[in-house]
Amino acid sequence: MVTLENIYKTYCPGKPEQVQALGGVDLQLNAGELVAITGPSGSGKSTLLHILSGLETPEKGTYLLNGVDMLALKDRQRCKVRNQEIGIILQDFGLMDGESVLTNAMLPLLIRGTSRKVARRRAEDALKRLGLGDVATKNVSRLSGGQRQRVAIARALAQGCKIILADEPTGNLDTLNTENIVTILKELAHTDGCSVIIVTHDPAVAAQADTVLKMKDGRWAQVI
Amino acid sequence: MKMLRLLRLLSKSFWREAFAAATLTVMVIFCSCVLIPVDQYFVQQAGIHQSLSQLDFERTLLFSPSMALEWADIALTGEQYYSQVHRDLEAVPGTRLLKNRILVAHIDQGEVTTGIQMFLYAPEFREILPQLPREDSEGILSVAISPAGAAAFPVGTELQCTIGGEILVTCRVAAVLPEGWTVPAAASASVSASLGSIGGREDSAYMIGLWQEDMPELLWPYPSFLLPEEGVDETAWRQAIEEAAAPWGQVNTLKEVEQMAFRHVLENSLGEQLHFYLLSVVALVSFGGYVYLTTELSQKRLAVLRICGLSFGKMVVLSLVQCSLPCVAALVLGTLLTPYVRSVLYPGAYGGIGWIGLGAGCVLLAVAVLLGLGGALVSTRRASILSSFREGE
Repeated sequence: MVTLENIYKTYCPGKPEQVQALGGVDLQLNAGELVAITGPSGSGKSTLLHILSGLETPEKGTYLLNGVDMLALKDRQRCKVRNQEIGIILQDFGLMDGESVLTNAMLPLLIRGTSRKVARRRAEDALKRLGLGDVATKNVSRLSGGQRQRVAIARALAQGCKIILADEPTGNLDTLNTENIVTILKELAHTDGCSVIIVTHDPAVAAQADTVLKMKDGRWAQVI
Repeated sequence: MKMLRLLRLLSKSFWREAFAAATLTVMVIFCSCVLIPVDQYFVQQAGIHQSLSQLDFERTLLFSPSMALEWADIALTGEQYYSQVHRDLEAVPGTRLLKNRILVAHIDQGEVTTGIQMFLYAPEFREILPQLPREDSEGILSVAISPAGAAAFPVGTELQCTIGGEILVTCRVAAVLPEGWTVPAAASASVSASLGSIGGREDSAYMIGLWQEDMPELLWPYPSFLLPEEGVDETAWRQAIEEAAAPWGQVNTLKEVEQMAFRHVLENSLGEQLHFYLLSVVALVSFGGYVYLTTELSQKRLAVLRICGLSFGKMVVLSLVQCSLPCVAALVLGTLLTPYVRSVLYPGAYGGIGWIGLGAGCVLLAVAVLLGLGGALVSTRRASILSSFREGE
């Protein structure tokens, strides 16, 4: 489903502050698989996630998503793929403060141009599935951290994506909420058939993944 | 529709945008006011081109008498002076001379005497001025009157006009001229580098009529426009005309007069231009800064849209529309309010919207938006999108 081959990424190339974030990374991710990526800060985890999400492009390598060469696409086409195939979950939730839970869950569908009626129905279904049906009209800023993270997951669900990229999704959550979120992500992988990548520092979270990959200095250090 | 939905998510502060729109409205009105001299030039020029649309401005010459000569002690009356000018200019082979005369007619209405400007055009003018009424066979001069004079002297009114204190001409108002019509050719003008040498828009009461052969010598028209007849070598003709006119004044093409007039406007409006430049700097810094800060404040919202699949191009369009909303409001309000403000602050200036000032205001706002937005988006492009969430909103 996702294939990365020999991915290189350097920031500020040719300048004194040049940093090689990724130095020849390969990755194979199948449908229904939950992969955790761990490693120290600056090891290249977030850069890898940026590249997988299409927000950044490497200077070298191959990235195939369902057989589509992502690096050959223009920004507009990559954005379309992201809108339809990739859900992004962030440590700080990546939600639009000041808007309702429902509006946040509808965002990718609104960008796609789906009718408001259909977008609303799909977002409501996703929110109900994650136990947020009764807070749909609430301002997202008033929710707890765990609830907010579930809104972000609901957004990915409503979007109908096949890949979920989670960057420290439990970094701001307590133990109970962490367990909840990890359970949901596991369910999305194993029941819904999504490919899920979690970048985490938390060994307890990583331990729940099917595969744990450790990064160091922009390369794989270890596969557990 | 899709963009409107997304725009609603970005434009969250009504009062901030309303305040920006109010500030920009004042700026647009200021722009329009400080550029009044330039604006008037173009309004007048457009009017002249409209009223003299039959003339080729690059071929038609304007005779401008030398005021110094005219008023010097040369023992010539105005009529003698101009009759000699006529004679010398018409002596150049292949010359068509268009003549006209500006007078003040006094209309006796019992105890009240009203002065009204009268423009008399020689018959040759008829071919370029269809607004001229027909010559009256009963010895009564048919005139077309300006809208400002039509209230006092409606169509059909007969007027006993005293000209020069003694000459009596009977006029009948035959038509009303269109609103804002430009009166062509002010024959007695000197080379003052003003469009008034070619024509001017009169907002006051005036009338135009066709000069008749049996009119007294004191009403004879003066030379104004000179045209080469068909088939004449124009270079040689112009040289001959210049030589013939040299003792009496000078000739220029209408195009040259326009150019001189524009230089004159620019030279005489340095103060206004300085205000405009200062205004430009203030607008670029303040509104450019506003756009930059607004876009910066929207970074987190834009980043959310980006991770949900909004392309960079659409993000730019969205930000552009967001920042342009106060500009659009300001331009609409400015267009509506400018005529009123101009009529209050500059009662002598032509009324109207002041398109040059508004156009300059538009350009200024567009540059400010592009600079502010460009600066903010360049920093967005450089920064990692996901980093927006780590810095807070």
